[in-house]
This record gives sequence, structure tokens and C-alpha cells, in this order.
Amino acid sequence: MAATADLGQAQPVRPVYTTTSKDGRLVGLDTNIPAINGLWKPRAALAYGFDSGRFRYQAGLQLTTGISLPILDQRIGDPSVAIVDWPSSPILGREGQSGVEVGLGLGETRATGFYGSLWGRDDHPDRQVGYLRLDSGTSFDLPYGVRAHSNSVMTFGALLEDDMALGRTFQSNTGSVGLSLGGFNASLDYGSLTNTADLAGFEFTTGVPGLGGPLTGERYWRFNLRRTFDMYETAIPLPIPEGLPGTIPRELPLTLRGDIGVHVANADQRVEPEAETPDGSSEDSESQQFGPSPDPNAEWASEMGFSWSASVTLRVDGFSVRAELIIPQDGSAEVNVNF
Amino acid sequence: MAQRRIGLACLLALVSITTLSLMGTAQIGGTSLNYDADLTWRTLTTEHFRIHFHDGLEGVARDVAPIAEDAYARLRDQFGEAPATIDLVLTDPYDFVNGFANPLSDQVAIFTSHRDLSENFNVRTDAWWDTIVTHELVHSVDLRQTRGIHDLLERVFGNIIIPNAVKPIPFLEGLAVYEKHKIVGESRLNDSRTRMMIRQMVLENDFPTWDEILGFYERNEWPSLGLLLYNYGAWLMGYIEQAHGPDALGRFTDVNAGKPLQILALFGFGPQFNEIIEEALGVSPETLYAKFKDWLRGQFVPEIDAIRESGVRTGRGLTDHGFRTDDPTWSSHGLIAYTHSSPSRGGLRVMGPNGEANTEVVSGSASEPAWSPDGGTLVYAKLENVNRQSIRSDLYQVRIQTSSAEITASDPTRLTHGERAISPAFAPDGETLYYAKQVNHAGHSALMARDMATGDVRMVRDFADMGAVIQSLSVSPDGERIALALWRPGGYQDVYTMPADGGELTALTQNRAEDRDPVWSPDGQFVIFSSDLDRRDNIYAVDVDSGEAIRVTNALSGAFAPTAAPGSEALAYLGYDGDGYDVYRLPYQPGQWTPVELPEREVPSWDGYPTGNGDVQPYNPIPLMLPKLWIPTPLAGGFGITTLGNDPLLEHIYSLTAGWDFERQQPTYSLSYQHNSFLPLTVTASDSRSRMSVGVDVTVPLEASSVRDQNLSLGYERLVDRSPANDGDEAEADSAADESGEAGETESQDEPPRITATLSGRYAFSASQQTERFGHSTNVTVTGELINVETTGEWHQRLVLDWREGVRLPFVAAHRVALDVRGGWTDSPHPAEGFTLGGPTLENAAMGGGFAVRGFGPNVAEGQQAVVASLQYDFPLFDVKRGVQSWPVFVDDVGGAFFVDAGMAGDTLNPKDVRIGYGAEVRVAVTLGYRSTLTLVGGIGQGLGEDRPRPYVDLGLPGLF
Repeated sequence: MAATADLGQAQPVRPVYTTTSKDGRLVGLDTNIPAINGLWKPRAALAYGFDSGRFRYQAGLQLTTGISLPILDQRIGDPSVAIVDWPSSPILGREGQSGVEVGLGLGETRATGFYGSLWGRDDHPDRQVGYLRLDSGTSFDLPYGVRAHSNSVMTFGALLEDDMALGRTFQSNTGSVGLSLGGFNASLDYGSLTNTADLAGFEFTTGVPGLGGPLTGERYWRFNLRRTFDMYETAIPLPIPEGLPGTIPRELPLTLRGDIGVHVANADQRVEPEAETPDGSSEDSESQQFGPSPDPNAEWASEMGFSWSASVTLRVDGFSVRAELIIPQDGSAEVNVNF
Repeated sequence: MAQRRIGLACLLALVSITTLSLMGTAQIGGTSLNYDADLTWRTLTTEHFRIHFHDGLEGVARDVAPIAEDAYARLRDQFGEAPATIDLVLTDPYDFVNGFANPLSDQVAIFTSHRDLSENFNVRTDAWWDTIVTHELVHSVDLRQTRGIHDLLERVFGNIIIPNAVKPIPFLEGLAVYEKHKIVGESRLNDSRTRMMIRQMVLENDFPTWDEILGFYERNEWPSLGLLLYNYGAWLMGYIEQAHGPDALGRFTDVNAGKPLQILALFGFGPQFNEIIEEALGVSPETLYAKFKDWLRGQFVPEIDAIRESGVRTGRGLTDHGFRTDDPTWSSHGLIAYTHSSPSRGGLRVMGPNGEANTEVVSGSASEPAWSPDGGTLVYAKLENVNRQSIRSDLYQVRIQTSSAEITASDPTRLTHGERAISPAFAPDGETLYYAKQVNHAGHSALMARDMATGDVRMVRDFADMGAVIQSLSVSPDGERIALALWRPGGYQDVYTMPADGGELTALTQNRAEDRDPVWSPDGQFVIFSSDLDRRDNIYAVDVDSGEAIRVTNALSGAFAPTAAPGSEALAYLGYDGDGYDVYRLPYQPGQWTPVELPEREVPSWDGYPTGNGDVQPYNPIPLMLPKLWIPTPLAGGFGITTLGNDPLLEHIYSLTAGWDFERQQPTYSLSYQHNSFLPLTVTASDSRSRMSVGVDVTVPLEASSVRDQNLSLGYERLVDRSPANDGDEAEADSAADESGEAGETESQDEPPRITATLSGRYAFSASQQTERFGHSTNVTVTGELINVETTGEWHQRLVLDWREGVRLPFVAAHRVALDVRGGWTDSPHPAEGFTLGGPTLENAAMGGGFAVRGFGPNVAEGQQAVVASLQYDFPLFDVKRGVQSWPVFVDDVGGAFFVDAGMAGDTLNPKDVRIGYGAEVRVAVTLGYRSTLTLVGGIGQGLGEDRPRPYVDLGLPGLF
């Protein structure tokens, strides 16, 4: 899966510097341009793949207007359309996607439709795909400083036949709920999927800090408890001569913050009963073009991961260094230092 | 072996309970009385006292010396015996009045601030030292009384023989207040507020029950426990002497201090108090208390009738909080601010002129609010830690906004830092804030003025030269004069006025009544205040021009802290009923007030503290630390003697156990020494049959305040472990011992001891945030150890995390939800460093924590890792508060809890092996021996996968869950 250098969402232009299986090294720019006249918000990105010799792009427009429905206290609108050929995709296991994307806001839900092709690692490179994705999220400021949030994402997609009829489908549902109070946070992420389209790599990947490898499966949940606390806060006076502009900071803020966490994750993998072929060998589901339908009698194999951690973060102005001790279930202990 | 351990545990528990109970609050956290390392300490020696004091307190020491000697002589005559020498420490760490006595080492500490003298004590004494020194000396002498067999035991074992420590608390604290009254002539006994409290009991025929006044417990009803045990108890002592003869209390002491095994009453056994009362006074406790209440009625009914006949004049209640409601003050916009504290909540509140829109604007400690003239700001005083050892009063401000029916407040900001500031009052222009400040260690005050725009502070007038203490102040409507209540040596607290820029005082009152909380009428004609002129508190006013005095209220109970509405249409004040204090309102009608003649009495001149007499030497702690007690101590396979001691400043605290192991034919010892002058540093050394260790531990306080606390402890310990489990599985060792038919300990003597050197670090963080209806607290402790096994050369690491989140729910008071997480990890394969998972047992409770999953048996899993999490919901069940006659057993509140626990342990953890238990428990708070409160827990837990539910009982000691 592609990744872009994340230097902050607020920047109007961000560099793209990554590697994909199709393009090798990919270098370019992504944009986050404010709406023109407060109405038209452009979407534009361009990158060049050195191995493929191809340009990758996103180009589109969002009309930042909509209709408010007072009765429902909801807003409908903010339509968008874009053509994309870009190394990222919201579909699990896909490295990127090429096609047309349209979107529409429905209150706190945003619906996104896509038609085109997905960059898989191996499968069906030429098959056209359509999917509909619904993102919704909400948060609540409860009394006494308690804050709750929930998010859910539902994706329904299908391989398209030559006559544009829907073929085998794939579907995923994920969600998260969380509660916070001061520096205390508890969150639960969960998801399930079906993959009759047999998209390779269309599975959840989760885990906990310090765990040797990821947990993969068609269902997952992950629970985190975390508490942060300010240990020390001060300002280091700087020897700035008098007479210099007041915009020059006179002191350097320094904070030391502690953090402890408990992390549990679980992934369930469906275990299909082996089907005997006439020659006595097991049937290779990968050899089927569209894969088998899920067996309702299939059993689930679960994997769980657990770890707990304690960390200290020293922040001086914008610079920070974090030392984290992670103790996973296997009894190993590792110390990570991040800058 | 187990019996010996139990015996030792009981003995140590007994010593601990007695010691901790008696040594008072000053030693909590192991802090020294030397709160400032820069202070120089010296000692003034008199015939029976060594008075230790620091810079700025020599005058007080010389003032205290004759007071202490006089009280000592009277008390020795009365009780018959007294300690030969008493160490008396004068120190000034807090901005509130207090003191304590420690009979184990014959030491007394006096805190010299006068901050709330007028709130809680009788101001008519010549000096605060009269009150507090005499009170603590009563304890020092009373607690050292022994009779009969105890005389002999005291000669052998020293100060640990304190049979008088075991008696109902009124016979300790009430006795001190009563004896103080006999010696000084004034005390809380005849204070107007105490008389008001008892008068109200008589009026409402609502007396506390006999068992409610005998010991310490968590009381959430008014009157507070302190008022019952000290003030009400003093009246009981007075009645006993009046009804049963002037030697009645002496007879009681003779019986109580001579009863063999009296100390067992700490555990609910031994001679019962009923027998002691009957033997000493010839009546049963029930009869004694019934006649006492009749006697109180006889004392107060005529007084009540007289007040009624003179015409009761009071207002109507605006609040219904009870407990400690205080300091109402009216804003220019018609709002009333006041403070309130009770067992369930406390803070600064604002309400409309008729009690509407009552809102808590600041949670926690707050007192003496003052409105800015524009009504947009409240400044108030608050006690807060300056560092770990000292607590100071400072000023804070909060912005107040009002809408149609809502009052909101900003977050408070701090105006002063460690300035010992109280009693803020704005000038009419709003630009100047006047306040009182303690300017020296003797507690004297100065009037300060702060420019609110620049923050500049100037001293308007220093009252140290007259030894005076400002109780409260108010600025006149034209800003030209300031009215203030001033306590002066000799026991005079009067109301004065003075120019706002300093200058001469003009006395509005001059008598021995407690005049307090003056405010100006909106037209500036009157200064209105409260006074206990006839030992009853009422509101009075003095015409500033004519000097004529008038009485505003005539309450059956009392009236305090007046404040006038901006338009002169009403007064608000503090009233009192059987639930405590509340804000009342009455019309502002000077024409209907009653003219009175105020007595006049000249205040004696004060020329400062004496400067001569008595030898002053530098403080030398070494000779003051000699042991004064010896405790026989059973040891494993032997016997020993334990002693403990400290210097009067608590900079050096030690305990030493030395004995002989008869089986090994070797000496055995255990030594602990704590040094507190810079950072709390503890050195330990011990050698016994199972272990020999040497260690050092230092604690660095990082932060200390009323809402947050952080500290870091670093330690080193070298341990030679001779226990049978020192080289592997304890179970195997036990099994081998069983098979051989020999004791495991004997078997282990052939094994080479395991020698470890451990470096440890412990970081602890705690924070709490409380509002009127909600509370949230966090406690995090991370302990890391680096262990070097010298016998193998291996290095191991060990880490333990404790994390607790607690939430007080907003729906109903005392409902709480707590989440506890505890994790342990080590790379050491040795069981001694590993972790064990199991259900609660008494042994686990005594260890102060563990990896407990209720519903399972003990030791269900063990290994190099363990993790447990517990979610618990606590709720009150019954408000019991009952004792059994005069037995030293008192049952306090009963609470319940539902819980879910989950945990796992092993060398590696498999989340699928997690053990989950759920259940419910009942908790009962029990006070034993009148002073030590324990929480007894009984519960039942069901472990998932277990055949049956598993009941358990436990002591709710700290750290269990």
C-alpha cells in the first residue's frame, strides 16, 4: 500500500515521495487548496513514477454548498467529482485505484462512489470495479468534561462483468467508539468483511504495539486504554536582547508528558472445511476465478494480541522525543525512541 | 511458625496503631517539622521543658516558657505524675492553627499561625499559646498516667505503656478542652459557638447518641465529629466533675490507667468501658449520659426562655446546606457569594438575592470571597501547598458572568504566591484590593494594598508592633476608611476603623467579646459586625459618627458574618440550626434595631515578647533521640527487643529490633533510620535467619498541591536471601521438606543463599478534580528494578505498573466507578521476582496489593508476567453509625460494590487464558478502640469456568484493589 509523506494536513502543498509496486519510486506534489470564492474546492495531485515512467494524478472539484434540512438538523450536499489514478485506496489490501470518484454529503455521513480499477497486488488487474463507501462519524461533549465519539465506515463493492452487471462482491464494515475524560481515553475499533470476490489481501490487519507480526482476519476488534498526564511544564527564558521585535519568542516552552497504555487486539480468520476433489486433492480456492462463496458452517480461528506500555515524551517548543517501553504478551520488552 | 508471625504482626499492628494515632498529622508522609532548610533552630531550656524554635520565634518561645511551666505544675498536681522533661517545638509551616502531642517520646508541637483562631477557638485567652500549649500538655500528662500493674510495666518497657490512650475520645480531647478551661479560664467549652451548638440540641431535643460521641469515624452529619468529641465532650467532662465530685475525673484515670490488658481494647477486647465508668463513677454509662442531657437542659432551657422573652428577631433562610456555610457577601449587582463545605462537597457559590440560581463557581477550598465593585470578579482566599511541608493561604480570582437565569464562572487564576494572604476587600474604584497578610512567624498581621492593574503591592500598616492579628476587613463606600476586626494580646478582638492609607486606629468596640466580620452599611453610616457580647453571637451595628451601638438580630441560635445589599434593602448573614450554618436574609431597618450599651474595657498595652530569662543553645538532636520505650518482640526462632524514636523536629526517625535466634545461636537485628532534613532518606539493615539486607531509599518530591502530587523514589538494596525458595520453585522446596519430615527452613540452611543487589526507581503521580456533582481522580505508580544476582552474575529487570481511575458519579452522592489496571513484568526466572495471580486472601491483603481476580482461589497462575484489570461500581447501602453500648467497636457506613476482574499470569501471556471473575461485595467501616478505622469486606465472586462461586472476607487495607 502506498504511503505519502505526511507533513501536516493544513499545508496547501505537500510533497509526495513514496514507492509502489507499479511505479517504483514515486515523486510529486499533493494539494490542499482552500475553496475558491468559498464555493469551489479543487482537488489536484501529480506524481511521477520512475520505474513505470507514468504520471499519477488526482483531479477533481467539490462544490462546498448544500441544502440544510432544519427538521433533521442535517445538511445535504457538498457534491464532488474527481478522476484519480493515484497510489491510495480505501479498499483493504489495494495499493491504489484508477477511475472516477463521486461524493455527496448526507448529514454526518459522506457517501463516495467509485468506478474503475483497483491496483491489486496480483488479482484481476483488468477487471472493472465499482464500490460505494459510507463514512459517518459523530462526537458528543457530555457533561463534566466527558467526551464520546463514534465512527463507522461501510464499503460495498463488486467486480463488474463485461455488460456492467454486478459480479461477485466484497464488503467491509468497520467502526470505532471511544470515551475520554481529561487524559483518560478508552477506545474500541472493530470490523467484519465478506469477500466473495476473492480479492487477495482483502482482509483486516491489526495488532498491538510490540507484537512481532500483524493479526489478520475477516473480523477484528482492538481495545485501547490510555492515560496521559503532564509531569512537568516550564518555559526556558531565552537571552533575547531588548529592542528586538516582540514576535521573537522570549522563552522556550518545555513539557514532559507521561503516557501509559493497555492494548488488546483480536482477529478472526474463517477456516473453510476442506473440500475433496475427485482426484482426492484439496481444491485450491485461489484457482477459482471468483472464489467460493463463504461456507456458513465454517469455523473461525482467532488470534489475540496483548501488550502494555509506558512512555515519556519530552517536548521543547515544536521538537519532541519520546521514549516508550512496550511489554507484549511474549514477555519480551522493547524500548522505542522516536523523534 | 505461623503463630509466631501472627503474634508479631499483632504486636506490630498494636504498636503501629497506637503510634500513628498519637503522633498526629504532622508526621504524615514522613515530613519534618523543619519545613524550611534555611531555618536555624535553637533550644530554650526551662525546668521541665526544652523549647525548640526557629528564626523569628525566640520571643514566642520566651512567652511560651512560663505558660508551659505554669500549666505543667497545675497538671502534675492534678494528675499526680508528669513526664520529667517535655520537648516542645514551635514551628510555622501552616496557615491554620494546630498542634499535636506524642506521648511515646514526650514531645509536643505547636504551630504558631493564628489564621483561623476566631473561627474555631476562643479568642478571649491572653495568647494563642495559652490555648494550644495547655491543650497539648494535658495530652502529654494524661496519656502518661499509669496505675497498678502499668506502673511496673512502664518502669520496664518505658513509654510504650500508655493505658490512657485507650478510652473514649471525649475522655482524651474533651478532657483537654475542659482542663484547659480550668487552667486558662477560657476554652472552646465556654466559646459562644459551642454554647450555641448545645443550646440548639436542647432547643430541638436532638442530642447525639452515646455511641456517636465515643470515637473516630466518618461522620456526615452535623455537628461535625470534632465538635462532638472536643467541645461537647468538654461539657461531659464538666458534668462528671460537677455531678460526681471534683476528683471524679481523677478516679476515672485511676481505674482506666490501672486496668490490666487495657490495650486489648484497641482490638475490641479487654476490660470494657462500661465497667470502668461504673467502677469510677458508680453509674452505668447509660445513666451517666441520660443525666448529662438532663443537666444540659437545666443549663440551657432558662437561657432559651430568656431569649424568647426578649423577642427573637431573625431573618429567613436563603440556603439549606447546613454544615459549614460561611462568608456571605453581597455584590453590587445583587448576587450573594458565600462558601460552603461539608463531607460531600465544598466550594465557592453564588446565588441570587433570594437564593435563586444557586451555583457552585469554584470547587474545593475557598474562603472569604470579595466582589469587585463592578460585580464581575470574585477574589477569595485558598489554602494550598507551597511545597511538600508547608501550606499557605493565597488569593485567587474568578470571573463571574450572569445571564437571565444562569451564573457561570471562568477558571480561577492565582493572584499571590505563598504570601499568607487572607480577607480580601476591594476599594470602591475597583483598582485597589486590600487584604491582610501574616508578616511574621508569631502570626501577626499587616494590611496590604494591591494595585489590580499592575500587581504592585504596598504595605498600608503593619500591626506586628502591637502583636495584633487581622480577622477580617472592609472598605467604606467612599473608599476613605477601612473597618477591621483585630485580635490583640490579652484576648481582645474588637472592631476598629482607620484611614485607608494607614494611620491611627479608632476603636468602635473595646471589650472582651469576640467582635468579628465588620462590613459597612451602603450609606457608610454604620459598621455592622457580629459579636458574642453575652456569649451569644448576634449582629450589631455601630454608628460611625455617634458611636452608638445597636443590636440587629436576637437569635435563639446565633447570627454571624453580616453583609448589606447594595440598595440597603436587606442584610444577609449566617444563621444556625441543627443542621449547621446557612445564609439568612432580613430587612435592613435601622429604625427597628435595639440600642445597646457596649461595655468598655481598656486593652492592656503590649510591649513585645520578653527577651530575657532562660538559656538558649543551638538545637542538638542527638541527645534528644535516646530511646524511651522497649517492646518485647517475638522473632523467628528467637526473641528480641524493639525500640523506636525520633528527634523533636522529626528530622531523624529510627527503629531498631535486636534479638537472639536460639535455634541458630546467632544474633538477629533490624534497623531503619529515616533522615528528613533535606529529602526523606531511609537507610535499613537487617539480619535474620531468612534474610540479611542493607538498603537505602530517597524520595524526591516533584510536586505537591491539593489537586496534584508527584514524587520519585530511588533505592538500593543488597539482599542475602536464605529462604527455602531462594534457588527455585518454592513448592518444590516445601515438598522436599515435607518428604524429609524436616522443617523447610532447616533444609534450606544447606542451600547457598541467593545474593541480589537491586536498584529501584518508583514514580508516583496522582491528580484529582472535584466539582459539586462530579469527581475524577487518577493514580499512577510505575516501579522499575534492576536486579543483579551476585551469586550468578546475572542482571535482571522488573517493572510493576499500578494505574487507577476513579469517577464519582453525578447522579447520587457516594456512588463511584473505579478502573484499576496492574501489570508486572520481569525477565528473571526466579520466583521471588515473579508474579502470582489469584483470588483475594488475607495474606494478599496484608501485602497491600497483588494480582487479584476475585472468584478464583489463590495462586492460580504465576510467572514472569501478570496483568489484572478491575472495574468496580461502589454504592452506599446503609448509613448505620452505631456502636454496641460502650464497647470499643463502632460500625460506620455499609457500602456495596459490583465488580468484574480479569487477569492472566505466566512466563508468556496468552489472552485466551485470561481469567475473568465477577461478583459483589459488602464493605463495612468499623472503628476499633475508639480511634482506628478498618474496612471489613465480605464478598462473593464467580470465576468463569469455576465450579462454584467463591466467598471471601478481607480487611480493606489500602492497595488491595
